[in-house]
Amino acid sequence: MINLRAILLAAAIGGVSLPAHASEWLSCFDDTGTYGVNLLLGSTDKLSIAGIVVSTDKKTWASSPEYAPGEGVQVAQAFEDAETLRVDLTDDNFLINIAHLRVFKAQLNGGETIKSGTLVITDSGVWPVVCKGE
Amino acid sequence: MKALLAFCAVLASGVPALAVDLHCVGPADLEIPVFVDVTLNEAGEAENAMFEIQGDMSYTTIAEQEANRSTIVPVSSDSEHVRFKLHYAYQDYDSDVAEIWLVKLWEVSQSATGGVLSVAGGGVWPLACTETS
Repeated sequence: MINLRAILLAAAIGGVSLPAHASEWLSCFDDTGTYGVNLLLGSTDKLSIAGIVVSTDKKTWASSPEYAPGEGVQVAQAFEDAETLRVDLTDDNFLINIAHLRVFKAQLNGGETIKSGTLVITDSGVWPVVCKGE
Repeated sequence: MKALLAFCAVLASGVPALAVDLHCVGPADLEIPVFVDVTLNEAGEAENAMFEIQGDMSYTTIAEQEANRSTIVPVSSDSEHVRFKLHYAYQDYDSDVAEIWLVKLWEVSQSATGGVLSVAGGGVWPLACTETS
């Protein structure tokens, strides 16, 4: 029988880490650049969110201190298709809603895709946002 | 009596009591200014619409239009009160003009609406909207 604990221990000793092939940050901010969310997206053809930073004028949440100082945040649910991107974010314990992002996408003749919609940050407000890849 | 007549006039005008006017603009840093005005009725359906890109491409669904605007007609309107997908064509339904996709979210009593405008053969633009009712 395969011993999972042994495998994990061996991986830890061997310095094996989870693959991190994230390719770009998607930044969705209001027109002042103050309120928004940054999502580090994986390079798979399915939506995979490897990192998160939520920003307001008073507070920041981050999925890892590596990205920004602040309280923890994680993905509650996320979905993307050809027309939309929908992401709901909560605190580390899945107890408090932190943000909801709803975005429509439009592409010009197979060229550049623009992404724009709205963002709610709980107890802070709601804004139209434009998303840009970085 | 005047007040009653005014009230009756409003009723007779057919204007929905909770109609919302959305004024949407592209980002300020865009080289090409773009705006969209859409009226949503109380069922969340799009009624009149007008949009313009840099004055060159200007469209309206309103019959009493200004001479320099092309008249368009709504082809479909799919509304879920939070998502609006509006599709417009020329009057003869011969070719598409534009699609406007907007999403509205609330935080307590505050709301915001944003989305995208796609004009056939013209381009695509992000939109941020303000509303009046």
